[in-house]
Amino acid sequence: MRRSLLFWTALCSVVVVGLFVIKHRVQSLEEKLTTLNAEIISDQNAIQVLEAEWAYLNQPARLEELSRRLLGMDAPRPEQTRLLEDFLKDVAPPAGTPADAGATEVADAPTPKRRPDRRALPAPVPDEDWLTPIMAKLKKPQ
Amino acid sequence: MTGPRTPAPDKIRIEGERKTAIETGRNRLIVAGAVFAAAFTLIAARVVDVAMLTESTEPRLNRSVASNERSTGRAEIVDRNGVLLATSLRTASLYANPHLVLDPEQAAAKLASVLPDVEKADIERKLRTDRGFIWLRRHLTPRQQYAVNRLGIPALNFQHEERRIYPLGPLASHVLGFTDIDNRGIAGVERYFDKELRIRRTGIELSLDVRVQHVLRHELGLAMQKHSAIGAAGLVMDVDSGEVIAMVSLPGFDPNQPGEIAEDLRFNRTTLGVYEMGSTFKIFTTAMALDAGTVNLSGGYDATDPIRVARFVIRDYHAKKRWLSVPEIFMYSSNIGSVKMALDVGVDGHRRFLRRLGLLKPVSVELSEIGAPLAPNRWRDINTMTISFGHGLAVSPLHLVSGVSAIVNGGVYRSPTLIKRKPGEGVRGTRVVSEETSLKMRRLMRLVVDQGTGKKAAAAGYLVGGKTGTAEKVSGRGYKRKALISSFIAAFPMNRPRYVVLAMLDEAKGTKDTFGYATGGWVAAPVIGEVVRRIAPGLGVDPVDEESDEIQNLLSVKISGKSGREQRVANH
Repeated sequence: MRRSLLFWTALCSVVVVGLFVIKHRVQSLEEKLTTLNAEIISDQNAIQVLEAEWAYLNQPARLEELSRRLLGMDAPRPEQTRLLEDFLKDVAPPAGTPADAGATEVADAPTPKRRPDRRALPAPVPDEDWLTPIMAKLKKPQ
Repeated sequence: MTGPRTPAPDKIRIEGERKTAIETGRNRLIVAGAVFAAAFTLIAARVVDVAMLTESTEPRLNRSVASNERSTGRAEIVDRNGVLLATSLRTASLYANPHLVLDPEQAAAKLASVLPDVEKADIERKLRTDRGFIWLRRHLTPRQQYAVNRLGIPALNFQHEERRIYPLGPLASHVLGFTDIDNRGIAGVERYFDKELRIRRTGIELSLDVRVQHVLRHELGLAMQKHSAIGAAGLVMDVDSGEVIAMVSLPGFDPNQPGEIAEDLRFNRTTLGVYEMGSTFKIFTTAMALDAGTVNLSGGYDATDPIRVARFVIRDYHAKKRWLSVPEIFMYSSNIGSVKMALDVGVDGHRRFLRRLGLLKPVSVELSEIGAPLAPNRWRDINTMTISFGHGLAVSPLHLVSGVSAIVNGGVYRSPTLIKRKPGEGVRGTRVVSEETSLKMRRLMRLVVDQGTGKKAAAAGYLVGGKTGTAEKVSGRGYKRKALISSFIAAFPMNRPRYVVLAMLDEAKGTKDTFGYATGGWVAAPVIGEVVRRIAPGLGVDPVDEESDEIQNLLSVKISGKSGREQRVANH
């Protein structure tokens, strides 16, 4: 009788203490959550302000003025635009001509020419490594 | 007493006075103990109640804020590339409880020193009123809020409010519209989508492109200034989707200052204003005649004599006084030729055609400022005659742009929109002219820029084609001679049109540069040239060699003489 009373009293106090500790922990976690939520909201407000400022500072009119004044830029002219396909057509050697045929002739030429003509220059061989990703990109529908 | 000790008695009996005293003490102890016990029981019960039971009656809600959750109410508006056009920011508004103000004069003086543009006397008067609440200033900047806080006046307090901010200022003012101080949309998209903006969490994506918007606004502003025009309007539209890429109405306003916007500045010339467009309507007349088959590109009409009808005389502005072929009628903008072309199709056909192009009903676009076209009630020959060259039917610039888009895009009319369409989203449209007619019209429009009245609209490499338009403004019952609506509508690149661009100036005046002319070809066409040159690279339109055989074959027009034999082959 006495033993069981002791047991139940002990169990009761353990449960009570345990409950209290858990409740206390939950409370402090809740407080933390509230603080964090408040912080998130205030950060979001700050982000929104910064986004507005970003848009304000990136106004097309301002960017135009800055790039004119500081970078000396101007509206692009059509002759400044070239399609990559056309560019590669000029760079790549015409199919069928050996790339170094002209180069060997130059070595035997008696007098150096004043201006190296087109044949004298070694035909540019496109480096496959840098070309592949660009060509791959071109093949994709844009 | 002797003998064995008697054991002590079991109980000491206390009698008399002493007994009474002890009894009293014991009673008091019991009472005090009972009171304490009751108090502790009560406290214990309350502890249990507070600790465990309150929650069941009033559950505490705790949840974490989602990372993409917006704390501000009204949704954002962004352009097609995600550039922020309108957002809501939390601001603090300053209010006071005048009952708590100790020294109104001193408080007013302090406030006036930290807040700009407030009068000390004004604040003092407010602080002396006999009320519990009074607004002192709405929407303070964070810096001002800090400064006010530092003053340490106890009666002042802040209320958090939201304020609509338009970071790009007046750039897209007529599209966006604005909101009043309580964040209700009262113009533009803000008004049209008012309800939706309140409940949406994600922003609204407009079809506008701020870069294009800026270029168009800038160039129109320059032209407006140069020609002392009272207003200007411009549009850029994607011909395949009907998306409006830029919409400019000048003069504009700053939506960030809703209190200072004059009523007339709010007028959106591109959608609310309806104008008699003049010769740009010849695009529709010619397309209609070609599509109906009443005339073909080698046909033509005699434009020697002005047409007299009732009390009107219809003349040509650039009169050639001879037989003109259809390309020439279009290129020289001959009124006489257009009238004859329209009459051949007939009144009913003309009216049906314009209805199919959406020119006889208000245009449907996501704005509340929509003007209804002014069309004749009874449509007679004379109406068809004048409408064939753009008089007697007033439409908004957006009507015109949507109509021309349909003519050049292969012949399909699509309703204009200010909302970005998803890439690849098919847009339903109605066919108004055949593909073949569309190609013919593109050739004719290219001819105008290449050799006709619109040479100044050319932008090398981008194959601009278009049509000039100059109309006298209606004033009362007649027309004002010197008040012109000068416009130019263009599409580019003409081998496969992607965008239609309109520039329109209201009451432009001629300058020395234009030899005093204020017609569309002189004042509006140069704007188109500049705009196309500047926006095409950004829109991904690649320049082409305009002289290449491929382009020449596609866009060249044979201009035939009266006998039907070819006079010369135009370049294109």
